Amino acid sequence: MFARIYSLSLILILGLLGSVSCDRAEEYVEIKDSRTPGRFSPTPQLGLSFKDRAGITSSSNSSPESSKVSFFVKMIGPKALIDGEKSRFDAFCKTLKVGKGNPPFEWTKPDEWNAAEGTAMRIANFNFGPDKKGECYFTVLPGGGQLLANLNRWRSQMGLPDATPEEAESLPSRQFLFGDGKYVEIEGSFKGFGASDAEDGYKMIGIIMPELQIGGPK
Amino acid sequence: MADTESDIHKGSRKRKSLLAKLYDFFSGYLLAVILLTFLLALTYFGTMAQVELGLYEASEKYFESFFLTENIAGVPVLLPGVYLVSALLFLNLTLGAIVRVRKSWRRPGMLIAHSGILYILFAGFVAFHYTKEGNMLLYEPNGSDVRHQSDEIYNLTNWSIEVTKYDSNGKREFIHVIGPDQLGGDWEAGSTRTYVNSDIPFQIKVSGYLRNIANGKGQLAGLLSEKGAKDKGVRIIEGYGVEAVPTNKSMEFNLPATYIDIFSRVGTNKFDSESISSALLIGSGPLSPKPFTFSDGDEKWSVDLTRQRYTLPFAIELENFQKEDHPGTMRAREYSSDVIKIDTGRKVHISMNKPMRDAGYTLYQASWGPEGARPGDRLYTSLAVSYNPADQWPKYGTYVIAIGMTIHFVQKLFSYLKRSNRSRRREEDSQ
Repeated sequence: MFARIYSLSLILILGLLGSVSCDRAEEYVEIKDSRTPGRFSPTPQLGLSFKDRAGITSSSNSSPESSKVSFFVKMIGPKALIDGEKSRFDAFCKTLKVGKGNPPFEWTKPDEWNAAEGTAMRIANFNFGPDKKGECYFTVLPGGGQLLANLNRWRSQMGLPDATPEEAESLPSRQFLFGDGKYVEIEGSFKGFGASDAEDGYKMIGIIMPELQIGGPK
Repeated sequence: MADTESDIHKGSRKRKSLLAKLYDFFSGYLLAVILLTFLLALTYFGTMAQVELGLYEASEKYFESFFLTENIAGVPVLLPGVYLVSALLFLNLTLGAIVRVRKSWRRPGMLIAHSGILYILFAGFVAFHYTKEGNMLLYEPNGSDVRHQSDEIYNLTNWSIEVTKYDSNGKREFIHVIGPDQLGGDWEAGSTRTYVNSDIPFQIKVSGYLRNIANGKGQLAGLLSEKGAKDKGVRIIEGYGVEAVPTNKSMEFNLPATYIDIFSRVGTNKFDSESISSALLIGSGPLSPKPFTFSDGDEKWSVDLTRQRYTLPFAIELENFQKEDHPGTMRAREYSSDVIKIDTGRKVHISMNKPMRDAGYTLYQASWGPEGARPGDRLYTSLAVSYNPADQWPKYGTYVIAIGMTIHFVQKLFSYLKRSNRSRRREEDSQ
């Protein structure tokens, strides 16, 4: 028995010694792998500065794969319910700010609302009203598209025809997070994701802050 | 007499050499039981850790390691990783169930079944070391833009450094790759790795490698301005520094960064002590590579921190991408791709559960993009590409085990029936 324990210990010690390098601070490694460039691979852009390589504009710290971010807050539900919750929506939007954590946002939930579980898209997510038919959520999307595209996305959810660029630009502004967002208030027949039929008498209010170049490196 | 025999046995046990004892241990049941217990415990710990660490990190810590430390009741305990346990189990099975076992053609079942288990363990080893996995993005055809054709895939979670030499026309000649196995592992504070190759006229010193500087939204949360970097004592290059950000559970959202210094070769194994160039590298996207460029003498080179890429032995062209949404939504219900293998003209329709197989590679329909695209936007298809030489081996191993077990149990059944018949006959004779 002793011999077995001795043998096992010896192997474990040798294994540990083998896995620990003598000099961790300075290590020399031979490059072994190589590959030929693909015939159809994208041509690299050469001679760029660090800022250009990292896709940093003078006022952004986004990654090269997504240099702009869009912010949305939206409340939707039966018209009467949404009309009654407007003041709480305004109060919630005012408390929404950049904070600590990941994602870095903080807010105060209106007492009458229920906190629903966040999703990959919905950073803050609430429901309220009878049968929890009212919903309010805050979304941040890398990229996210222009104002008109987002407005028309929302309008299509309410069964409304597309708005014109002029109509989009004429939307009222509303203080939101870092600056002014565009305030949207529309009524129509709402058809949620996966629903077979639209529900009449619905109202949607929300703020769109599209494709914002957020501040420089911290 | 019994005492004398016992003394003889004791004497023979004492006379056994260390090698014989090691052989006994490594081929014995005790080690098999220990290893299987470890496998059970590690599977439990590794599965539970996925909640905290995410799939890839948990897999790396528990299933791909030699050793790991696990906090059990607040006490850190050193445990063998599944890789080491599997290797020892392979050794144990080979010695115990193949070499040491009494072999008889009258009892081949167990031998066959154990061979099947060994085959599956070996398949795991081959798959772990030789599998190539990645994604290929192909845009819908659009005029002269060639992004609907590709012969490269990139891995979503593994990163590498590519060192590329260019000819006088700025065309890529050759790419040396510092792979994830050479770039990964622990990067303790202040540690550096110097990468060399006899075909490269310089050495690359990599320092301050960070596994992630981005938050889950793709923002460079760990990028520091000159002032911020100065305050934190972080190295500054071109007005910027970097600090680590906690890794995302979904490893594909992690974006690494590192500092590099280039030292010219001045002899066979000698390099200048003064660097000719330095840079801060941030992981680059697959579709528009923007590497750090520098010159060494007359030669132009670039260094890029990029998702690990593979060049395929064939090229694919997207002919048509189809997407059908759920009624009344913009959520895709079904999507598929019509592709052409460029060199042979072979046309294949790739859809869910209907992959394309060619030259050992399998191309699956994985996803599409860009997210939130409106009608009329140019879409791309994302194909998951996998090359695993041991792809079908576990299936064959299972067949071998099933055959071995069937032979064994059928033989056992026949011998039981024989014994029953014999005892019945004996009973009948005695009556």
